[in-house]
Amino acid sequence: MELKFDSVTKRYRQKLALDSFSVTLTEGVHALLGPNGAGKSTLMNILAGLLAQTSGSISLDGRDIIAMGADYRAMLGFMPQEPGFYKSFSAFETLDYYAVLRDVKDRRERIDEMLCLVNLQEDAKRRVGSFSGGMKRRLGIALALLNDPKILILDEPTAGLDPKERIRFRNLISQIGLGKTVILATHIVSDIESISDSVLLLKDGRLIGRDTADGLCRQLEGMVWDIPMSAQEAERYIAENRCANIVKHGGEVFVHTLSQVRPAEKALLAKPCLEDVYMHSFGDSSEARDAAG
Amino acid sequence: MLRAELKKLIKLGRLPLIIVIALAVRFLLCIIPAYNEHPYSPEVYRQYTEEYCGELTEEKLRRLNERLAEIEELLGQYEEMQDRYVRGELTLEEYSDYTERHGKAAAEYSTVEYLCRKWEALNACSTFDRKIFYDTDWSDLFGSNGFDFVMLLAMLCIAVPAFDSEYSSGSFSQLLTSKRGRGQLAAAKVAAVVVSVFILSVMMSGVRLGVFAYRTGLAYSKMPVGNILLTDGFGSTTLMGYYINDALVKAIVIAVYSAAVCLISTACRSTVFSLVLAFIISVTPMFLADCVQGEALYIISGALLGKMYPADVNLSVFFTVSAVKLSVLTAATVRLWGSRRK
Repeated sequence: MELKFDSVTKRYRQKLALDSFSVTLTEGVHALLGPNGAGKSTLMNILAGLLAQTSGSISLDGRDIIAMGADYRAMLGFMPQEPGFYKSFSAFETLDYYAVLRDVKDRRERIDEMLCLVNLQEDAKRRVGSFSGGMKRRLGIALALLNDPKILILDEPTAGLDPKERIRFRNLISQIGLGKTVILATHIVSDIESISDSVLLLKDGRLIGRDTADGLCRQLEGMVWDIPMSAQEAERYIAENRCANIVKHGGEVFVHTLSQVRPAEKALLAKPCLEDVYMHSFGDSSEARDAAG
Repeated sequence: MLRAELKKLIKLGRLPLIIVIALAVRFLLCIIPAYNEHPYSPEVYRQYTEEYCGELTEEKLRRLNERLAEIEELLGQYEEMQDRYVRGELTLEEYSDYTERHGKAAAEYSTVEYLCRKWEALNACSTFDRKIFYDTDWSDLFGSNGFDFVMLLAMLCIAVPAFDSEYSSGSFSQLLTSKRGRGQLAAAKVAAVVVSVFILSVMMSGVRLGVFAYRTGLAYSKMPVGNILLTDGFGSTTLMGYYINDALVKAIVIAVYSAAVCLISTACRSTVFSLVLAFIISVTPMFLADCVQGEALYIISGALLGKMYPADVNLSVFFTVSAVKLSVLTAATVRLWGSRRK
């Protein structure tokens, strides 16, 4: 299965939200990484068929997804940034309703399977209105997976989840990602580092890089440094250098930074991680710090 | 799909609660005594219709005309009799006897005159079985069938949230990415609303008829409605048949309105704005009820909510036009709901 984006552009009056986005995706987990406003949600909504692009096209195995209509939607699973639910419905009723809309065969079995997958089987009869944020996200994932989609779109799926639930989510994606094209938009690096087959870097609506997580990290080899220093010196250094953060190893304080040249005599070369890729690509924004997860 | 949407409307839209409240309010409004104006005295009318009930015969008409002439004569003698009494040409007994008969004549005049006019109008009709009977209760039932605000509010409560709740709950995007989430879902939503509103409207009319039957009985329900409306336009349609037809007409009108409200709430995407706009559009026909006549009634059929349907409304044409309107409104809602945002 080949999902091809061909010069997809989206313009909101004066603002260019997506600028000639072209990429071809096959089966696997593809992470769309970028800060807020990079165009991730715009791309997700266009891919989900909710938003019309200004120009360009998206095709699945050579067929335009809009022309495919219901055939395309039958293959689609979508979890928006803010999944909405009917508060008075139970988890089971919610899934049952969507199962009708998605033409799911053997609804009851499939719903039980999904509730089990997201660990909500005990809460199947509880009203969704009484669910925590994490439970709602899990229900959203169950809902997106209900029709066993070939294309799964997850927009900021871990926003608002606690660390335990994030780990559970990562395991879930690894589990379900086989044989599907999973497109996952996030600005939280730790969500995708270990589970993504490719990472797409999106900045100001443009695709600025695409590789595996390891491949992107390798591009930074020789550029990532840990500089041991005192806590006061570290604070001063951070204030002067945008792409840097403080890390502690065994009680020692290091400044973790990116630099083409050795930044200090005592600086030690460090192994680049996806967080460094993010810092390198998107700068030291507040989101870049969030990206550490 | 329709079943799923109806289930959702029942659970999320609180449909049973709306139905119970609407029916309870309609029941209360039915049992509150109402003042109905008539061109005659109902008591005298009852007395005369019982006396003259049944077929229109020449003999009955002769008696009625004689009685009218007698009444007019008695009323016309009033000043003369007064003068004669003042001049001493009449004894107190004779004058008292006259004033007593004058009083009775004055009380009966409007009723007998009305009956004579009605008789004349009935004589001009030919398409139904013409009969005299006490029809005031039915006439009141038809006359009080004014603009039903209870039904209007219930319709708004059912129709507005059907689409609006999808925007407010945030489930809109998940619905639209479902296989059947576009055309079929929107059509099922409109259908669920239309069916619910139609059934509720029929139930509301049923409550009115039930209260009427309990209070006055349905003794003359099989009489042709032309005997009350004094027109050949309804043929042999009975009083009950006319009420049922009118209940169906109103249910269809309000159902078409509910489809229009669905379209409004799909376009507005705002509960308050949808409610205000839908209310304005739904109430407007009340003000038009008396102005809209003839063919215009098929187009502005909302005017039929404020009165019983007139004889010049052909029900087959009305049902066809309503079906077309319903289809157009549903198609527009489906199109608007399913379109991608620009």
